[in-house]
This record gives sequence, structure tokens and C-alpha cells, in this order.
Amino acid sequence: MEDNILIYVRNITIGFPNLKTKDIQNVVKNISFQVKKGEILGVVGESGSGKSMTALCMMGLLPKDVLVKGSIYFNGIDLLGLNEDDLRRLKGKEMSMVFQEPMTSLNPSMKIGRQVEEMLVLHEANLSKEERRKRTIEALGQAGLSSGETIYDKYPHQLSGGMRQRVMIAMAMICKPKLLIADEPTTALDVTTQAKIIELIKEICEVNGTTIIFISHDLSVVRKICDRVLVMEDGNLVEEGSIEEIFTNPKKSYTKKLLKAIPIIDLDNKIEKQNVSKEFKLLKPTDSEINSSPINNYKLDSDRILEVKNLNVYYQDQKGLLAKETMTHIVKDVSLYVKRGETLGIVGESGSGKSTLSKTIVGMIDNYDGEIILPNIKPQMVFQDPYSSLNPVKKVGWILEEPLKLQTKLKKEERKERVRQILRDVDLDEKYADYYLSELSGGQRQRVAIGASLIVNPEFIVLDEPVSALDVTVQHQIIELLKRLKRQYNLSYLFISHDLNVVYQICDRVCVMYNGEIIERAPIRELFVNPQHEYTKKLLKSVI
Amino acid sequence: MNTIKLIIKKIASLFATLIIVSLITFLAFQVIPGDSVLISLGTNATEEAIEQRREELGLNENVFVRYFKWLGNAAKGDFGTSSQYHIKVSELIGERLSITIWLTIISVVFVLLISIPLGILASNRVDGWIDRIVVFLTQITMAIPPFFLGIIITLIFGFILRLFTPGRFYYPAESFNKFISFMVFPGLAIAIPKIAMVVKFLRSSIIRQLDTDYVRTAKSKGHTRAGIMYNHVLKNALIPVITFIAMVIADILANSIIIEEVFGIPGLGRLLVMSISNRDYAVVQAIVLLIVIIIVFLNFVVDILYQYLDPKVRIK
Amino acid sequence: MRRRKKNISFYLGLIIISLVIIFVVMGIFWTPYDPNGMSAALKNSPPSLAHLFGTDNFGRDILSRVMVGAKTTFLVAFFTVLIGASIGTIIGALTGYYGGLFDEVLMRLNDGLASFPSILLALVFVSIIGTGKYNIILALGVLFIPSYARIIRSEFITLKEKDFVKNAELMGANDFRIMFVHILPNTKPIFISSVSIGFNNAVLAESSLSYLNLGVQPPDASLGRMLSEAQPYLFTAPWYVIFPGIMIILMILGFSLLNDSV
Repeated sequence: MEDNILIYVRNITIGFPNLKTKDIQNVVKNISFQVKKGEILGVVGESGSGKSMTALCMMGLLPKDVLVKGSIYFNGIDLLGLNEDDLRRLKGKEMSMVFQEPMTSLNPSMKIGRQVEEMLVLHEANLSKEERRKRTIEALGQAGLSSGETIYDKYPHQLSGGMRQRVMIAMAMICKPKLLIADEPTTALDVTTQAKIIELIKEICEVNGTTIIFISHDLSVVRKICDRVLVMEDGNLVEEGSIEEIFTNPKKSYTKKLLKAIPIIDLDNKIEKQNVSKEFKLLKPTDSEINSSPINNYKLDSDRILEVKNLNVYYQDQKGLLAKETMTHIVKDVSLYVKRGETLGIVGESGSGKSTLSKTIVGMIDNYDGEIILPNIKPQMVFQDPYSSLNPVKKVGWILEEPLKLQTKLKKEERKERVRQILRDVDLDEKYADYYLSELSGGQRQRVAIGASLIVNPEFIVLDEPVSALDVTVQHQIIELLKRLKRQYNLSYLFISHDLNVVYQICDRVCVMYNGEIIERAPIRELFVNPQHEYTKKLLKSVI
Repeated sequence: MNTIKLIIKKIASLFATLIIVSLITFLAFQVIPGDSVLISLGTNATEEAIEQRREELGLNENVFVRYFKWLGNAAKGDFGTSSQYHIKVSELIGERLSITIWLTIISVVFVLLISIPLGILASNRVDGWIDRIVVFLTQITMAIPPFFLGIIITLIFGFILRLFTPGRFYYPAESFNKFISFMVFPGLAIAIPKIAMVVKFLRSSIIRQLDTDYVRTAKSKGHTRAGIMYNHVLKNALIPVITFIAMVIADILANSIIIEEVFGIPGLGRLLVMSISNRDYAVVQAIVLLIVIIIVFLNFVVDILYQYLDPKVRIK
Repeated sequence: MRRRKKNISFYLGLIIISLVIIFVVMGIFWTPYDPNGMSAALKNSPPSLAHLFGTDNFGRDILSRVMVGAKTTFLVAFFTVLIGASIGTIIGALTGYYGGLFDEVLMRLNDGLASFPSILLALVFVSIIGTGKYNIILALGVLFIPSYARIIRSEFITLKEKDFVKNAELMGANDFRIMFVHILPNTKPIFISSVSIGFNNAVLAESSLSYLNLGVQPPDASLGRMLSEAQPYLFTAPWYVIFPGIMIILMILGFSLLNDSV
């Protein structure tokens, strides 16, 4: 074997025994690849592609009843041939791992310092207590936690998600391992935090000469950090190549599909070439813009389907019967409108108030002042998580029929017919009416949710992060469906999302929300090509 | 600062709970059909005698005035007079209370000494043969009513093995050693089903912890199985068990009422059962209040302990 | 491996419960002997072909008495659970869904009641309303209301925040429909398990009270009471104690096996 190869995975197959049918389900199918020393290798794939299983297999973290065939050489040693003790000595010291969920990956009842220090206790037993403490604080500092002294005595729940992920990185890197496996390390974080964590991983590994295997479903993240990429689909290794090759000249159709689902990258390539538009645009609506449209209460300008004026929304914290009520100001003086046939996007990170705004618009929150002017037909809403927005104990047919029972006087047969029609509209077979939700995939469930919102013929639908819980290729399909339905039924959308890439695919205009305020509004291409506000620039930078 | 504030808050809620439970205890006995005066004087008492008695007992006053009087007296240890024995309730309760508390302590010691090691042993290798045997035994044991277990223990240890004489109770004053060696058996009868409950709870708590992300992190650090169990899992798994054990202790105290009947122990429970049969309400009220107050205090202590052990609750 | 073991306990539970129910139903219509028929000649005779479970100190057939006693215990437990679960569910649904002052007050009361061990509360009830079959059903039924209310309430509090409930509100479903058509079916798994736990607690409570002679009163036979009557003959006629005891154990074991494997 060549000297500069750190990892050589040869013909690995991972099989989970199925308890019901007693056969073995292979989640990774005979894959082979190599990782060079000092390289950053990205592994990309959607959920169920086997990318995480491959990583867990290298670390010996798979459950005991899982069947693994093939071999994994680490620095020339076959990891699968090692006994438990020898493998244990490698774990943490020579190779370490950072996981996706920073909120749960640390022991909740143990101080941060002790958890990081444990690595030294396990692998560098000769150090004295003082040395260990010193090294731990150093490592925390290296991971960007400058106040290592105070962090040392904190518990995990006292830190934010980003800080916890830094602790995980400090822990993984304290023994200066040869290999770091990062399994979706930024997926659970906000985009601006994501960018910082990725930089940190890259930097800290460069300093220590550590090789990285970076697992992600997010192509734009992979592109920022990796040298080479593996694309996985359904347990198979589909394509392998340098970043340059994969992103500019993908060979396999699956890779192309993945790339097509994130057009921002495409945009990025063009931005550098094209001239930036110089057109001036308004950051806040001027008085004249608002007053120019002669709106009386409850009567809309004919081309507008929603008008929101000076909306303030408050959240009431009430703790116990006698405690003082405190009001949190969540949405601050927001004005916006949606034209007929238009899709208005609202973009912001978690806590920006975008969800509260959407809930207020559909009438789920009463504690507001300002004006919300809607047409007579109530807006419908599609929620983020189809697993919780649809009643889990009911059949699809029942769920779709319920709005008809409540809002129309249709007879039973007419209702059934309408249900069949809407199922066809959202590209689902009629037989799904008799399925329980648990028998459907996430994408199918979201189709049902969209169908349920459409079934009473609304003109305007509020979509609250409708694709955030889905895989990118499924995201793409759902967005295409939404676009088609919009044309078909002449709908208008208010589209809430944290994901600029998704917004780019569907919205006509965008409002950027930060801290409860709309800080920037622009037509979609304008926003991407020529962002005005600093925050918008930061958001864009972390995506592109 | 925060800790002091928290403790003050806890103490305030302790008093609120005490008020509520005492109010429940007091009011429950105000709705008794049939006047307690009639019961104590007999149905052929004269109008004047009844009126005089009512006045004496303060029954003509407002319910809340009576409640506060009753509570005030109870706080001083005065629970009134037993209608059956015509002596002060506090005298009646005195020694019996200590016997019941001894019985409870013995059972609790059994539970703690046996259940925690057994729970850890079982979950050390989930689905191993030790685990299977333990699970099977806990399942069966939990289905046995404690009083039936008491009878079986009497049969086996008393009549067949002759390790104690059924029905021959020794007061601590007579011989403390004999008292304890007798009490071991009723203690065991109460403890065995509770041991099964705690083992089951601890086992599932450990299994739940073993499945968490932080355990996966610990494995990726190169920990041994034992290291993960003792350094990471056990503390997190035991935190919920503490609250559960508080519940179990309350249950043990309540079960001693029945077990005393089985073994013929002159404790609080036997007095309670007799007083209910005799409609001696002052005694019933006093015993119920005492038992509940003990339980409320126990919960208070556990709550404070919990604050100390669980960092998530501790720092708020 | 794990799954197979669960199935065994499921089927075992099912078999035990079926046997208990057959036994109970049979006891309603037919017993081998008159359960109250005494015979001086047969005093304390051990199990035999004529009397499978033997006879007691009055020469009564223990098998017949166990059948009738099991019937009493089973029915008391059944009605207790019925009262507790139905009223508790309604209270829990209303308080959990609406919250507010009513909920606050009820929960404080509930917290207070939770400090009383259930057997102690049962004794308090019995001392107030008296003993006997119907009083026991009433006492235990009322006693079980708070625990069901608490379980259903906390389920409702979690579920009402779910998006599918908000969705139903947006669709224009009224509160009643949301509570009982949308939310309630989601509490099924926890409801079933609390019913089977409740049944076991009721069996335990009834037999304990009857053992203390504060429960079901003669002429109604009861397993608990049989045990207390049998205790003086523990050494001379152990079968008198063992059969009613085993009957109680089987009743509890069946449901707990079933509950554990769901």
C-alpha cells in the first residue's frame, strides 16, 4: 500500500438483520475508497444513503448484531480484524469523531472540562492532573472557546449549540488524532454558525495535520471545505472525484439531480461573470409606497391578496399564577404585501420571528397590533414537519376529507370524489387514501399536507418551511409540485424558509428578517446579486 | 443567591402542600353521614346533652374556624380524644408510630441494598441470561399482593423453617434484638415486590441511557464498557430512580398498614384499621395526617436531593 | 431475540387472561358446589378429586368459592376502572386543552391527593362511606379519577401544541371535535396501558381492603376476605390460603404481561 494512504476501505458491505423477515438488509453495498493523508474527503448523500453507517463502521460504533463484510485499513492496520481492546486504544487517540447533534452528544450531568479531559485520562495516562487541566483549557481555546477556564466548570445545557459543537471538536482534537470523522457536524446549527464551525474544523485540522472525512447531505457545505467528494446513493458509491470535477462536470445522473436541487451553486458561478445590476431598490417601504395604494379596512387592492401594515406581535411569558407577566416583542413593525399570483419569500434564521409572523397572518396568534388584511377565504397553511402536522392515527383519506366536512356542505360521495381528485393533483395514487401516515415517506406526507391545504380551494397558502425536513432531491420535487399547483389553481404563496437555496427556487420577491424586523426586501435575483444589508451579505456568504 | 431563593421557594411550596393535605384530611371527615356526636352519645341521648356536647366539641362554629383550631392543636401534638379508648390520641399513637417507622426503615434498607445492585447486574448485559432471569422474576414478583406474600413468608419461614414464631411479637423495650429479628420477615414481605419494581425501573432507565448520543460519544472516545457504565451512564440513570424510590418509600409506608395485620404487629396500621371499624374518627384523622405529612416531607427531601444531583435542574 | 421474548410474554399474558375470564364467566353461571354450602364432615379436607381445591373450615368447596370470589374481584375492578377512566379522561381532556384557573385549582388539589398513598385514601373513603361491594366500587372509582385525569391531561398538553391540532383549528374544527376526534385517539397507547395498570391496582386494592375486612362484605365472596379467613388455618390447611392467592396473582400477572409487551 502506498505510504500516503491513511484509510483504505475495501469492499465494505454493512447489513442489518431484519427481525420480521429474518433476512439481511444491506445499507452499504460493497464500497471501496481511499483517503490520502492530510486530505479532506467529503461524503455526500441523502438520508438512507449509508454515509453515516460507513463512518460508524470505521469507528466500530455499529450495533453488535450488524453484519460487516470487507476490510478497513487504517495506517495499514485492518480495523475489523482488531480485538475490542486494541480498537479502543485507537479510538479517540488516532481517530476521533464529531457528531451531528451537539445538543445530545455531551453527557448532561458531567462538567465540560471533565468530559474533554477524559480523552487524556483514557489515552495519555502519564499526564499529571495539572497538565491535563492545562491541555484541556488549551484545547478549548483552540476550538475558539477563549474563556476555557470558565467553560471548564460549566455543564452542557449552559452552552449554546454552536459552543457545544466547539466542545465536541476540542474533545475530538485534544489527542491530535490522525483522522477526524465529522458526521453532519453543522446540520443542526444556524447558517451563520455553520460557516464558523466549518472554518474551525478546517483550521484546527490543518494545524494538527489531521485528515478529515466530512459527511454531509449539503453540497454547498461540502464544496466549501473538501478536496475530494464521494457521492453515495442507497448504499452504493455512485461517483467519486475532486470538488472541481463533481461540481462542474458531474458524470452520473444522480449527482446531476443532486446538483440541480441546489441551483444557488450554479448562480454563484454566474455572479462572478455577469455585471451586477445597479438598479436601486428600497430597503423599507416608503410612506408613499404604502399610502399610494388606497386601502380601506377589509378591502384589498384588487391585485393584492395579503396586506400587512405595521404589525407588532408579542409573546406573553407567564410563569405560574402569581408571577409577573413579561412581554417579548417578537415581530417588530412589519409591513408587507403579497400580490395575486406571486410568491413572497420570508427568509431568516431561527428566532428571527418569521414563523411567528406566518402564524399571526393565518390567525393562530391574537396578541398583535397593526393590520392584517386578507380576502374572504381563509388562508391555509402547510407546516414544516409533515410528521407532526398531520394526525398520526388517521388515514390519509380521513385527513383530506376533514376540511371538507368542516368547511363545505358536500355529500359523502362528493367528498370522496374530491379526495381522489386532490390525490391525483399532488401526484399520489388514489389507493393512498386507505393508507396510514406511518406507511408514507416524508415527501409523500408533505404531498398529503399540501393536498389538505388545497382541498377547500383557497386562493392563498402560507407555507412555513414546507421542505426543510426533507432530503434535497425530494425538496426539489415538492418545490416543482408547488410551482405547478400555483399555475394550475392561480394561487399565491407566502413562503417562509431559512434556506436561501430553496427560496431562490420558488420565490418572486424576498423579505429578509432579522431579530423581528424586515431588514431587506427585493426581487429574488436582486437579492442574490446585489445584497444591501450586512446581514444579508453574511447569510449569502455562508450559503454560496 | 439563586440557591437560597430556590430553597425558599421549595419551602413555601412545602407549606402549601401541607396546608392542602391537612385541609383534605380535615374536610374529608366533615362529610361523614351521621353525626359523630350521635355516635359517641348513642341515639337515645337527650337534646340538651347533644347540644352541650356539640358546644364542647366546637361543632357549632364555622368549618374554617374549626379547621384552624384542629390544625393548631395538631401542630402542638394534640389530636383530640379517642372515642373508643377515651384517652388522648397522641398517647395512643406514640409507640405505635415508632414500630411502623421501624418496619418501613427495614423494608427500605432491603429495597436499596438489593434492587440497585440487581438492576445494574441485569442491565450490564441486556438480554443475557442473568437479565432474562431477573426480568422473569420481577414480572412474577410484582404480581404478588404484599399481604399474600406475608402469609406465604409466615408459612415458609415461620411454620416450616421455624425462623420466627408467627404471632409472637416483641416490643423493642422487651428485647430490641428479638424485635428486629421478628420485623425482618414483615419487612421482607413489603420489600420484595418493591425490589422488583425498582429493578425494573432502574433497568429500563439504564437501557434508555445506553441508547443516547452521549454514550456513543463516550464509545468513540475509546471507553471500556465498564467505564461507560460507571463514569457516564449510572449517574444519569439513577437521577430518575431517586424520585421513583421516594414514591416507593411512600408505598412501603402505606403497605405496612396491611402487613401489620398479617403479622399481628401492634403498629399504626393496625390501630388505623381498628379505628375505622370502630368509627373512631379522631384517631383515623390523626393517623392519616401523620402518614401524609411524613410522605410530604420525604418528597421535599428528595426534591432537594434531586436539585443537588441533576445539574439541569440545579442551575436555572 | 428481544422481539421473540416479547411475543412469548404477550401470548402468555393473553392465555392467562383468557383463562381468568373463562373462570370468572363460568363462576357467574355455574359452580361445582354451592359456594356457601357448609358441611361439618368435610371440614378442612385437602384437595381431592371431588374437591379439587379442597374445603375450608366450614367444609365449603374452595374451588366454588374461588370462582365466585374471582368474579367479585373482577367486576369490582372492571367498574372501578370504568368510572375512573371515563370521568378521568373527560376531566383530563378539558383541563389539558383549556388550562386556566380551573385547571390550576384542580392540579393543586391533585398534587395534594398525590401525597396520599392510594390504599390510605381508599381506607379514608371506606371509613366515610362504609364497606360493601358498591361502596368499594364508588370509593376506588373516585380514587382513580385523578390519576387518569393527570395522564390524559399531560398527553393533551403535549398534543395540543402539535401542528396537526393547529391545522385542525385553522380548518375551523370546533373545540369539541379537536379534543375528542383529533386529539383523543392519539392517547390510545398510553390510555390502554394505564387501563391495564389501573385494573391491576384495583384488584390489589379490592383484595387488600377485603383482607382487612373493610371491603366486600359477606355474603359476597371475595378473594381477599378468603385469605383473611384462611390465615388461622395456614399451617393445618395451607390449600385454603394458596388457591385464592394464586388466583389474585394470575389476574394481576396476566394484565401486566400483556401491558409490558405492547
